[in-house]
Amino acid sequence: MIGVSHYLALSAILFSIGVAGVLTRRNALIIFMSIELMLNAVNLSFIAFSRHLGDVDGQVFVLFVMAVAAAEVAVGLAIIISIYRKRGTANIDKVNIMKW
Amino acid sequence: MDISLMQIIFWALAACAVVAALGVVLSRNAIYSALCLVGTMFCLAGLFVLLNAQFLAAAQVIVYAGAVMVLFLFAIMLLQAGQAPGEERFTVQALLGWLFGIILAVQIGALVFVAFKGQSAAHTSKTGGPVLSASQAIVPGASATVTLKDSYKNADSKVKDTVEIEFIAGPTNEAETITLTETGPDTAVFAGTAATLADALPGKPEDGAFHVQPGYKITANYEDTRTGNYRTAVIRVRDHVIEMPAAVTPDADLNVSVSSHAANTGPAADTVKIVVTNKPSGEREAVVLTETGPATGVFTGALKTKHGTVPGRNNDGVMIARGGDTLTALYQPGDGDKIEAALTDGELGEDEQIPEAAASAEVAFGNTESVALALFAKYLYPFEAIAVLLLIAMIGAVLIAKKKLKKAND
Repeated sequence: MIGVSHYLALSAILFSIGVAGVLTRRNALIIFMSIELMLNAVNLSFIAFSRHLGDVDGQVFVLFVMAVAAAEVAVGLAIIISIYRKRGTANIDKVNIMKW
Repeated sequence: MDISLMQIIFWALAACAVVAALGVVLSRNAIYSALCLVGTMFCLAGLFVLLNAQFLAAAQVIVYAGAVMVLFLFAIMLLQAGQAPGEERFTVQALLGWLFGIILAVQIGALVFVAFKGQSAAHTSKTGGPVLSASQAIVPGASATVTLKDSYKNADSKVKDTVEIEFIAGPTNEAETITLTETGPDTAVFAGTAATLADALPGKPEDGAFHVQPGYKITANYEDTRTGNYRTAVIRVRDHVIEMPAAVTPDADLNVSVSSHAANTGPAADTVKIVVTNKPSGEREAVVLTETGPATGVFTGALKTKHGTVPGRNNDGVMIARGGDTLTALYQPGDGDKIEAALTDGELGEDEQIPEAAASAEVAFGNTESVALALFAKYLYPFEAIAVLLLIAMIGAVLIAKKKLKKAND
């Protein structure tokens, strides 16, 4: 029997892989993909809870998360591309002007 | 322990999702990362279908695997960032990053399993602890079913265990011990029946059947050995009992049965008439139930349901229902003619009697429709706000990319 805990555990694993990706990779694009992975893991737990509680509100929130993620990707990729044009790299270690 | 198709699909999709996610993070080439991310998205879409969220599965494939990934691939190609130089070196930062990731996974996983320990598998109910349930009402002479879920009584997972529960019939105080047998070797669900006899005289204790009359109550007190709390189940003995499933899917038949000795008027197979009402839409349908045998006193019949949002005509033989509706069946003995008259008039008159027997069934929710209802009714303003946000993000992305282009040209 697959219960809600299985889905939540899978969601936890995917989220942690995303966190590890953000912390270890230096390529801004891959960091971005890892963030998408984390958002998807959260979506999975939203839907698992929605099913568990018999309430569709969780599914509505997943729709919102998807929309926000799409907006974030559009703006984020535009920023990465403009940084790349200016500095010739997508390595975040080389883009540390905001570091104090 | 049997492995169902659902479990196979879940484990396959989960394994694929985790492998693909690791591929996103570990692959050196950004294009491979992007392709692995598409794989993860598809696996998650499959899991959404398993979770009965078909609309979101489609949205996941269209939005993520379609639009977002195309954007990513465009950016990667545009930046020629396939292989980022200087990424190969193994740093302390990377080590700490992985360590932190693993700690996080273990922590969340442990939390999930502590929080849902008693809830997973076939153990206990949502609130934890044993659950005792029995037929709510029976007619004299019928048998009541009793079910108990209690993982602590599953003493041996190799054999079918048994539990004994003492039932007491009121007002005669006749006691009977009913033995419940586990439905499988390791299910922790125990089922049994309580037999009754239609008899005005109180029977002897432990003679195998309760001697009951309409108006009697059969009660069981079951002690939860962990907390010392008692769970109570009450079976009422009535003249008429109506039964239907607790849930029905639209387009399926709603099976209704009525037990009534009074309606068993002759040696031939008699009929009774009930009326089924759809709560939100107000549609009413009369259903004729036929006796299962010449003198059984049990009447069965079915009402066709059809998925639809517009309420259908009264008494046309088909109940139009959608997810979330409640169908209520009423049986009023000797009142069939009046019900039919009321149905053609549209409303029951003011002298509507309190029904003798009633049962209700929930219509299982049709998913996409309920999501849309929630989105456009309950969450209309957030939905508008998100739409505006998306528009702003689109304009913003174009502006950011365009502005730098001008600078480069200057």
